Amino acid sequence: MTENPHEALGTLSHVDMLRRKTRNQLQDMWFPLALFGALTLTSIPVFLSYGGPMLAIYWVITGILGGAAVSGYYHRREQQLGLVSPAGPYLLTGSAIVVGCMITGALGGAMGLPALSTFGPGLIVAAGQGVFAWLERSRRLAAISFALGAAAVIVWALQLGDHAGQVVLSATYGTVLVLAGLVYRSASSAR
Amino acid sequence: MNHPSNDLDETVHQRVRLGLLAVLNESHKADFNFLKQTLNLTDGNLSRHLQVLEAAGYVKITKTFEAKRPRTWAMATKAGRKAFNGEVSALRQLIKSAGIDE
Repeated sequence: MTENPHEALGTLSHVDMLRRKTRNQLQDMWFPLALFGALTLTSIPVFLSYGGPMLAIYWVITGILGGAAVSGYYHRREQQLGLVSPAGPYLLTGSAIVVGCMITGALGGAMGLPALSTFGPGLIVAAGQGVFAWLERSRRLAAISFALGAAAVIVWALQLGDHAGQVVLSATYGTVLVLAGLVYRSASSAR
Repeated sequence: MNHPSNDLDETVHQRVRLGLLAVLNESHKADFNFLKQTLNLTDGNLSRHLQVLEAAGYVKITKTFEAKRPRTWAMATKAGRKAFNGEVSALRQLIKSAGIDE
């Protein structure tokens, strides 16, 4: 078989365009960002009223319910669209975030390192967002991941104390995630 | 020395079939209507190309029923993904060997 290199270039451009178009159709992060942002903001009064152990229980329950809601959202959307994404890497990353947060939270408590309980989960969530950014090949998500990680480091460096640090970190994460979700929502509506 | 065009796969090299594999390679599966609209094909044309890919073992076709209506889904097999990636590599090699910038 022979092929003209210029035709090959045209074929490759066509293939790249189709790949981009397919990825764009699959990219839809507004719901998980907005949902987990809202859950993070709601966790603040739970923490202030009932303390750390209740916060852990809150995240176990809302993490499972939130994960189920996100799965349901994507299932419905993909069935309507007629295009289904490979769910495995996303489920694995989501599960790793939940397990990682639980482990760092528990380790911080067991080792008498409250800073690990406060900032460890925050850094794991930021790293998880980084994995989602890589899976989605999204610079916007990468920027969110970086912003979350930087926020965790800055709040830790400010030495506000573990109690105030937890509140400030949750407020920052919740606000960033909700705003990012709304930006994604308006961008997908405009498409 | 082997010319890069010798590495092109006859089945996948066809533009529509390569396009189908490009879409399926980025997803878990896609339904008939999505593929038809994305690649701007007719029903008959899409069916024919999917049959060729299925016969080569590059695509797996499944049918489901939703609200008593049949729905056809296509997904790239492991061999299909390998063939697609091989074809893209061969095309890139061909372009590179001709000294053309992508």
